[in-house]
Amino acid sequence: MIAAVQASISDAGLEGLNAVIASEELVSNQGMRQELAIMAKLGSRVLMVLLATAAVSLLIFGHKPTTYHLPNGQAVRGRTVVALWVGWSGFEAAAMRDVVNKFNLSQSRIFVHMVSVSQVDIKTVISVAGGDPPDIVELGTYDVGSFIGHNALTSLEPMVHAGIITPHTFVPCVWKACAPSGTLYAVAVAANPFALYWNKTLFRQAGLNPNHAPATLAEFDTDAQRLTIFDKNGRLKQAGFLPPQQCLWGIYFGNHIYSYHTGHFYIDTPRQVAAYRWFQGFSRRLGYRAVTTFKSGFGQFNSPLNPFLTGKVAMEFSGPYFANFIQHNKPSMAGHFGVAPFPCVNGLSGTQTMGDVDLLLIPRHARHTQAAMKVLAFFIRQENIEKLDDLHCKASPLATFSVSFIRHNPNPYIMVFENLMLHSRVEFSPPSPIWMRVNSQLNVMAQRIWLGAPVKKSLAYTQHLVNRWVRTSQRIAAQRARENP
Amino acid sequence: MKLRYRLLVHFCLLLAAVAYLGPFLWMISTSLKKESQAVQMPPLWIPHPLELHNYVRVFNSPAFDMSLYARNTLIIALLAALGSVLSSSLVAYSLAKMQWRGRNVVFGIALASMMIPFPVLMVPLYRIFRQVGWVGTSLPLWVPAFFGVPFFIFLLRQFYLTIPKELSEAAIMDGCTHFGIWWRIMLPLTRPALAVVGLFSFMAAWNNFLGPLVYLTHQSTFTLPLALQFYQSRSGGTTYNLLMAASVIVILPILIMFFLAQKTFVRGIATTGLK
Amino acid sequence: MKQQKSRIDWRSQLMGMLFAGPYLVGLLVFLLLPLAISLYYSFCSYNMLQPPLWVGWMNYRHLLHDHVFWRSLVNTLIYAAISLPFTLSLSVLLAVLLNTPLKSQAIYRTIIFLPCLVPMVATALIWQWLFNSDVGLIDYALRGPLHLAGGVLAGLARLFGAASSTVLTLRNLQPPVWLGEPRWAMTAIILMSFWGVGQTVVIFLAGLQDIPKDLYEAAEMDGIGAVGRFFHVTLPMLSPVIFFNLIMGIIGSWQIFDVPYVMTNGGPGRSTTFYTMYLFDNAFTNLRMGPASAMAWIQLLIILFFTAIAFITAKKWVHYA
Repeated sequence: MIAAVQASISDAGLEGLNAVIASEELVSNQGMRQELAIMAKLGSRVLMVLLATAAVSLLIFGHKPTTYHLPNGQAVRGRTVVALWVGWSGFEAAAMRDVVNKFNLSQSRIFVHMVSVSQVDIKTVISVAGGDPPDIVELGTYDVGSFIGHNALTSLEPMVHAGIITPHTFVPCVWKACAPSGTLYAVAVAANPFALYWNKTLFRQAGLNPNHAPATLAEFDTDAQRLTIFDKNGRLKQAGFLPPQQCLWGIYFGNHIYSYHTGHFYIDTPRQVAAYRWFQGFSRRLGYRAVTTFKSGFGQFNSPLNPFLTGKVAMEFSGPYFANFIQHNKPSMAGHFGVAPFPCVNGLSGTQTMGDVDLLLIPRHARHTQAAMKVLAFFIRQENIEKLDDLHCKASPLATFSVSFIRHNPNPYIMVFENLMLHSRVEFSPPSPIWMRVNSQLNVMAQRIWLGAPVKKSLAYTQHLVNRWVRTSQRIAAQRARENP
Repeated sequence: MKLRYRLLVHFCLLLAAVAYLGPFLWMISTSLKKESQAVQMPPLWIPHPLELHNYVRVFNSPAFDMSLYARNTLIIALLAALGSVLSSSLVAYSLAKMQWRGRNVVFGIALASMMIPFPVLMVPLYRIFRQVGWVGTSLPLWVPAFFGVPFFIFLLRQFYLTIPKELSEAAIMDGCTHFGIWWRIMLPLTRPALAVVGLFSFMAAWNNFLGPLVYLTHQSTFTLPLALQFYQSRSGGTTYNLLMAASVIVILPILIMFFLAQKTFVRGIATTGLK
Repeated sequence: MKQQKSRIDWRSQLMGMLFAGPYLVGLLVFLLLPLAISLYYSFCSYNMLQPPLWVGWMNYRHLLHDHVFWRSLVNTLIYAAISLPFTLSLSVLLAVLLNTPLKSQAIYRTIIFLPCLVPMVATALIWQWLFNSDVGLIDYALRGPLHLAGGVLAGLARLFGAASSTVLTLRNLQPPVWLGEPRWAMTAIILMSFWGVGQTVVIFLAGLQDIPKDLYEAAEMDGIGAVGRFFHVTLPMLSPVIFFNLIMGIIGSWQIFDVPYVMTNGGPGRSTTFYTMYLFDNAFTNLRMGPASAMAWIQLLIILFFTAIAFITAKKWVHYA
């Protein structure tokens, strides 16, 4: 077989290549000796050039002096350098940099080197697996479960023992996200409960009360329909609401998707069926083709062409930071939009909503664990968290907040979000070790349902899959515990 | 040849040229538009005014340090090219011109290993590089090139086989060592082939995406394709004018390389003077 | 005398191996060792952070029941089965056209070769933009002709008494939402692959130049037309090159990663999740090195299988001079 490969390749590709590239016979016997001397010279010249380039590039490559500078321009010497990766960019990263600078100037032992990393979750996984992680990383609740499951995090219990953090430092639901199994693995610096943003101008145009947000899902649906406009060619011109696919809509129907106790997922419950039927309803009414075409004309989220800002979408589902994006990109919209808790289905007690927390974690095998914990302790001081969250326009994850925090927060509706954090059930990504896979399956399922797949069947199928994943993961964890106690 | 036939060929080729060149032109055109012009219908081929500012914006974007990424990519690609040229030709010389037992087996394995794609070895290689602490550096992206690349070994071996035996025998008579023959005779004689190997491995390293995605974790070590994908994931939405400007910046060096190298090939053939 | 000879043999053996040394080391470190490690991991539960845990055939067994695995396998096969024949025929056609002596030949050759210089990531971005379903160039170009065709078809449908809903659908015939619908996303990626045939064309061109001219002359003497010459001279003489490109294409289609990763991220609904993507996902987003290694070995066996089939059937259709 190898001979055959050889035959085929030599017959075909490479001789062909020779012909194309050289297009003449390279070597002939005549005059060979005479040419040799000249060619030897030329050949070595080419090689010298190659070697020289390599040497130069090695020189550039080999010496990369890494001197860090304090904000006052002073070079950093003799400090422990703590690498901090954040997923934020733009003004959010700049805000964090303010806090970092404050820390760097506050003492002389540690220097925090902050880098803004895109796709920080994937990069962190790869760097942790590669044994070269940063000292501190900023992530959402999405990754925490699998990181804990992979034993990829450093426990922050020393901070609890030192009394820097207590279970009452954070709002209860945030504490649960930081210490899902009782052991503290993360600290929170910002909270993002999701809420409903509505465009008052469009409400008025549609003959709705601009100062009254829909209080129930039924009301919400009617409003959304009245706010939807097609042009005469049947193309979508304005949408009342476009439900994002990556949301656990079951929450608004009273479903608890995850059992902290057994690690089981509840995907095909009647409440979930109702939620995904509601979700699919939008695709049915608007037509998924119309929506996809409509969406492909949307601008960047953080730009003046954001569909909510251009009036293409009347109601949006987003976190507190969205208010900042609005004021940033379209100041004239101030006062012309409102924020309220996202409505739930009738008959639920209290409000429920989805949310996320911006967490700081220390990966396992981080080089400077001790120093990193000192940095975290500084970051979670109330004044620093409030400074950051005011600049980020987010809610505070702390159990108490100051009056000045509310006053300085650029989000005019910050109290809506603070109240959500304090008084309603905010659900984050479940801290399950297999959440990433479950979530990606849920997303695919939502995509399929959006494209018209039967709801009940899709949910049952996903439930069946996920059950098996849970069983396997638990079995392996048990086996691991037996073999390496 | 019949005129009718020539016209037909011309027509077909013209059609193909439009299809193959069109995306390039559209990319350049989009890169020179304002965001609002980019989404304008009917499409605008020649934007007015030319928004050259897009390129400035890409260059100054905090997430996209173009010159740094270009330098990183260039270093990796050059080292990979140098490594493949040196090691592959040395190995090819041994397999083609030296007598030793087992060389056919080695050559057979080299051929067979061409069938094994990188993804198959991705996980274990990652594990090995992790062991030596290379994950997060660019070393895994070019060091393996110094250990011979099967495809290039194969290619160069074919070249060496065409060089008559008498040549190296005469050299040995003159007291030349094998290393001397390789360095003074084989390398100069096969310069066009070496150029091909160099160019191919340069391009492969320049365009590589999966490798850097897996091995490069620090943004300061990123290569251009990786940076381009990150730029996309960060900007999202329809900022295609900026994305296309970034793409142009990434593509341009390789196009320049190609046009320059075309000449090098021709000159390489001309200077050997063996016609 | 005899002794001396064996001494010299031993020396040249050492020298030969020394020269081949880099590759011998590379072979060991970058191929054989990884293969062995990968085989071991494929029987383990392993995440690179905890020691590997032996689980026997579990990874393989679970892959058999993993619908995403099957989906990625089928997607890759579909891609290869549709894209390969088309790109190969297109390449042969282009090569024949480019082999015609014309003044502008060099320009055409350059234009067709250019796209394969572009990094796949950039290619994916360019085509994502071309395939955009509201303001994309392709959408725009198709809208007019489809509207026209739809009108004609609707007229015909009404003439033959079709249901009014059918007539309405036909009248509103619109370009597909390329990257938003499962079928069309795959179609888009396949269409895109036609753009990068330059390298294959070059290899075919070389093959064409190797065909002796007298074969064509002889065929012309026998009164065989241009089409006949193509099928009776060009194709058989080119068959080794086609075979080479087929093998390369089979191996290449198992490596597709950049384009779907950047353009569709495997969606919508896994319709463009390719094999390598799922392998990468398992390994580097979920840290499931066990299943990833098992996938690698399955991939290796599949490639071997297809290559073997190609070689076995090659005897029937590949013509060696």
